[in-house]
Amino acid sequence: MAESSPSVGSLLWRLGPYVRADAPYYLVALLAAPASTALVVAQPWLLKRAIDEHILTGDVPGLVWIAWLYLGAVLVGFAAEALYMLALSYGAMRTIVAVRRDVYAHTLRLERAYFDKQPTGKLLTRVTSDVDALGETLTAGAVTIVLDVLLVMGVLGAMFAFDAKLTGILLLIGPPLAIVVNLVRARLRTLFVRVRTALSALNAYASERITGLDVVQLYRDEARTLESFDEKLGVYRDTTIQSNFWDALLFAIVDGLSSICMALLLWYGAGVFGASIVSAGLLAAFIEYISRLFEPIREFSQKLAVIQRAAAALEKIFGLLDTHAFVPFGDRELPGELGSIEVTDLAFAYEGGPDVLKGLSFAVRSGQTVAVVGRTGSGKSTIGRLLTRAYAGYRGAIRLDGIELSELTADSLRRSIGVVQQDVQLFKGTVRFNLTLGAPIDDATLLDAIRLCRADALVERLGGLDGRIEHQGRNVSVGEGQLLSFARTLAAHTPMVILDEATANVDSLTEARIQAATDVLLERRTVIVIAHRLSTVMRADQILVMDAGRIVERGTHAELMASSGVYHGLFESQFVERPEDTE
Amino acid sequence: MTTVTRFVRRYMLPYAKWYAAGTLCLWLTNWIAVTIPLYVAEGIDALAKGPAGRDTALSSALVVAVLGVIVIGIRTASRLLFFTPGRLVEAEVKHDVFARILAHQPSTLDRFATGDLISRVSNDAGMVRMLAGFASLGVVNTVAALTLTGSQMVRISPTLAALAALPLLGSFLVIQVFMTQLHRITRAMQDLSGELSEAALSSYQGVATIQAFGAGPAFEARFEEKNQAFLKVVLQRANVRTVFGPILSLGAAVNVFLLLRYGGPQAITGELSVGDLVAFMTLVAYLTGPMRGMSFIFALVKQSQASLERLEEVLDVPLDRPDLPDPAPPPGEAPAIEVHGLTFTYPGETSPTLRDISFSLPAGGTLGVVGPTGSGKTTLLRVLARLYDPPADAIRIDGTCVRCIDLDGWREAMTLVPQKSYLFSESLADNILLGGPRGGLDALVALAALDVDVAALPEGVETQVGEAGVTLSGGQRQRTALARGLARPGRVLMLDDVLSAVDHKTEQQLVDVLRSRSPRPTTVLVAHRLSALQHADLILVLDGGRVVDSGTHAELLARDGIYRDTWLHQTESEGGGHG
Ligand SMILES: Nc1ncnc2c1ncn2[C@@H]1O[C@H](COP(=O)(O)OP(=O)(O)OP(=O)(O)O)[C@@H](O)[C@H]1O
Ligand SMILES: Nc1ncnc2c1ncn2[C@@H]1O[C@H](COP(=O)(O)OP(=O)(O)OP(=O)(O)O)[C@@H](O)[C@H]1O
Ligand SMILES: [Mg+2]
Ligand SMILES: [Mg+2]
Repeated sequence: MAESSPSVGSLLWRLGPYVRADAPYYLVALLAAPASTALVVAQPWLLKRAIDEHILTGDVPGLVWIAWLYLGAVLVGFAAEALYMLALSYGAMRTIVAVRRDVYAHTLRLERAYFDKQPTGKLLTRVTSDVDALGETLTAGAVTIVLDVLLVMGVLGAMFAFDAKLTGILLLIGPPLAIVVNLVRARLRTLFVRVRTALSALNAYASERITGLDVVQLYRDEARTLESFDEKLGVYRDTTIQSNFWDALLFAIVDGLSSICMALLLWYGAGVFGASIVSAGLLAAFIEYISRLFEPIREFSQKLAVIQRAAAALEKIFGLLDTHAFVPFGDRELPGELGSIEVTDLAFAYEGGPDVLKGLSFAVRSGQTVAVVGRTGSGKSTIGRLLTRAYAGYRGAIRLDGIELSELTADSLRRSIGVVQQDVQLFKGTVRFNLTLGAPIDDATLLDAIRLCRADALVERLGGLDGRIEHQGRNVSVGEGQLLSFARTLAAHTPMVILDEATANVDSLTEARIQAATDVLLERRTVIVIAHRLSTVMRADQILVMDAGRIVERGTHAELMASSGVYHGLFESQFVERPEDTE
Repeated sequence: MTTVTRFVRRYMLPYAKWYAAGTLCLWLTNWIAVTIPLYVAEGIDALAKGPAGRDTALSSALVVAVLGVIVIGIRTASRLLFFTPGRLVEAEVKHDVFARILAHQPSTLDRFATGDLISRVSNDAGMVRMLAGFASLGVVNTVAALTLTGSQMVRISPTLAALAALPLLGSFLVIQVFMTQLHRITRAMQDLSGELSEAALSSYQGVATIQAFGAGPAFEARFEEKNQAFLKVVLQRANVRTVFGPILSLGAAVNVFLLLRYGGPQAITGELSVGDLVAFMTLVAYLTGPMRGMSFIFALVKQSQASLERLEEVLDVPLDRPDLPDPAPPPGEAPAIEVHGLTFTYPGETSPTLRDISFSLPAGGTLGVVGPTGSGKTTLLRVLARLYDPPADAIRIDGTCVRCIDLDGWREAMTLVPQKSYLFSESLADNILLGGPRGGLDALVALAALDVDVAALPEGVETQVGEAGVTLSGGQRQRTALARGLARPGRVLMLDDVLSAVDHKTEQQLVDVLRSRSPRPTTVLVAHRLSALQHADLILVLDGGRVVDSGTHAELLARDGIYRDTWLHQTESEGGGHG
């Protein structure tokens, strides 16, 4: 495991902007904390005075006065503590909500190539558990560690004033203490990072298997699934138990060391260190101070552990926020409505893979329809993905109206090109949201698109535009999902449309009706149709036949049928039941 | 609080030994902690006597040092003995919840979103750890402190003890009010965590669409809405906890004041013994600490209760696959399927998706199912596979009601290749075999027409396919799923629109292979391309959930209807059709 972890300091420093936004809360917490501590400490002191100086001496007015003082201390202490807790929680919660917002927004902007490698369940852990862990540590009072340090210094100062030499001797315990604490701290940090890694692996696995639960159940894969889950769970469990051990040890060591300090003190008093025997009173005072000194040190070491947990979470969170794997966009706008597309020598490989497009050239004029056919895996969808800039890093040129695709702004591109993707993705929400995806499109346009795509009966069954679609679109059939996805793209009214197997799971009659209805609408748009079923491509102005990343044939249906090449073969095989082809 | 007691009994009780040992260690630690000052005092006293006491002082110093070292070990042990069961319990809960999710039928799980389920496994099960770890340690600490002080208080003065109990009782009552609130708020908070998790997961899974439509900002807004709702409840929780936290210790502290203010003067006048009063006050003051611990535990219990409830919603919902006392064995060979008056409504829907479907398919026969989009083809297959249970007696397999057959056995006996193929992020081979034997993999790959693609992949069948198979093309994914289905020697084989992924030649090949398999499985084919169904023994034409027509290919072509129209369209669209 490579562990070149960034330092806690630098991680916390980077949290600065978030903390600063809620600085007033943290400030109040920092002020209220010592006040509350002081008042809590004052209570037994007042009690002692009440007993020693008033009850035992029979001073009733003084006693009453002290009683009220005590009540005051209790109430103000309560208020200070409440204020501390409240301010701290408010600050921490506002901070994590802001962090969560940023992590989510950042993730959504990452390029598709990144998502190809990262299980979504792992990314999910970043925005949920990791952020929660950060919140927990912030509320646990990580901020007030500053106060503990101050307190330690204060007590040490007072001790020096009493007896510099004695304090010096006691300070000898400092370096070993620091070393031990630091060792444990480093160990904890490593373990906490491992805990977070194990947790995200566990969540990623669970998420994937739950998403594909149908398959697990249908193929009786439950036992194997549970076994793998348990394996990952075991890693998580064992790492957390290890971290517990070091955590507990840290706590105990600091505690035990205070006793060892006292022993040192007694030895000193007995002259072992060559000093003259000191007064018993001074010793008593020092014993008192040591317990005072170790109080904040104990707190400090506890918070140190807490902070390691925060640092581990932050390391993961910032690791994601530092991933700048974005598809680069340019700053040029398309001058008008999209005119033409010109693709020259286009080559592309997915990360780490071989070229899946190996030098394509074609041109589409405005208003034309181009069909792309070819065997599966030949690179058809890849063309669509490059045109919509889901992936960057192609070689060759793609020009829209003479402008290189990579120079366009994201907005300009989205306004120009709409796509029906091969994988239909629906979201939990209303039909309206699923069709507009938040774009300002009026209902009339939506209903129009729905009608054209023959989805009107479906939308009616769902309860109109306000009807609910369940998560992953599980209350609509596969074909119905395609109809909605088609409608979504039509409603966006982009001048160019890519239809990637848009009706592959729709029955032929419905498909024909959709085709008839949308022909008019698509007539003046530039359309790229990717299809298996040749019935949908025959009327294209140009047909590109792909094979293994290359265009092996091109022309109109009639031209291609005449040449008796690949297309002709594909056609034959698809309609084999008709032995003699006309055309 | 039955959820909590149930939890304690089910998960924590088995660790009783750990907790007992932990309590012992805790007790020892505390005993040593109070012993050390005694030796320190002894040392100081000895030193005060001058050089004569030097040896005594040195030996007490030694004892103190040794005790200090011992306490490190015991204290570590005491914490481990409490926290380790917490972690073990957490893992057990996670395991149980996940196992339960795997066992639940879709009819139950449809209610939950995937992201929410993960939140339950991850977040809620984690919450429970606090109960098994921290809270148990806290309870022991607090109970010990309370019984010690309490019994001493009663010994000194039962009346005063009773009086002192009053403010404490008062604050207990106040706390009850907040308890219900805390519970409600925590529940809302955990639910929102689930929603946030689902919102994130579903948008990460749908990132292709979101980015293609430039919908990022809209989704951010949707997410932020939930995020803010979450903020609102956690701030509410902070408010409640702020009052909740110190209120018990406040009760104790007010007690001290009352004793000082009213008991003090009485003691001075002699109505009360000074010694008793002083001792009493010291004890009450000492109570504030444990009281604080107590309210912390209360809060923890209430919060984990909300999580426990969310877990029980998964764990304790009965399985929608009741274990029959005496299940029928699954069919030993290709069975006959008889469906009679099958009407099926998805849970939560108002109108049925399948209406009065009847057909009978002989053993080893092939059933074709066609029909327009949304007509219920997939639903019929799901019901046959018992992903959703059909009404009793509607489906008979070789004369036995399908629901009477042992579910696992039935699933073993049949193979359904679903319409939407889901691949896992493992190698292509693992996806196909799902842990099964490797033999015949190449033949399977060839059968599903995947061989050309596999040859082109960098690492062949060992290529990792990425989550949900993202690194494969759509058709490759579908054919991989097909190969996965064909890898299993089912006695009933159901293919849901899978052949749409292959070209006609491959389709014919496949149909032939399926027909020539021996023994031949009873086969159900859903297809949009009718040419695949020409040899079916029976074809059902579904529309709107009903069987609107049925017969063989030839019979159906002979009459007007969807089937003939479709056939004509599929052959005619290329100009001049043949029938
Ligand atoms: N995200 C990806 N990462 C790596 N390789 C990929 C990825 N997506 C596709 N490929 C590979 O690129 C090749 C072309 O895929 P593409 O999706 O463009 O095919 P296609 O022509 O659309 O096929 P289909 O008809 O099956 O949809 C395939 O061999 C596929 O395995
Ligand atoms: N889980 C569900 N809950 C509620 N309704 C559902 C659910 N799944 C499907 N439906 C609805 O039931 C009907 C039948 O769906 P089904 O998936 O069986 O259709 P299908 O015939 O397979 O369609 P396709 O050809 O598109 O695959 C559809 O109207 C669909 O919207
Ligand atoms: Mg494709
Ligand atoms: Mg279907």
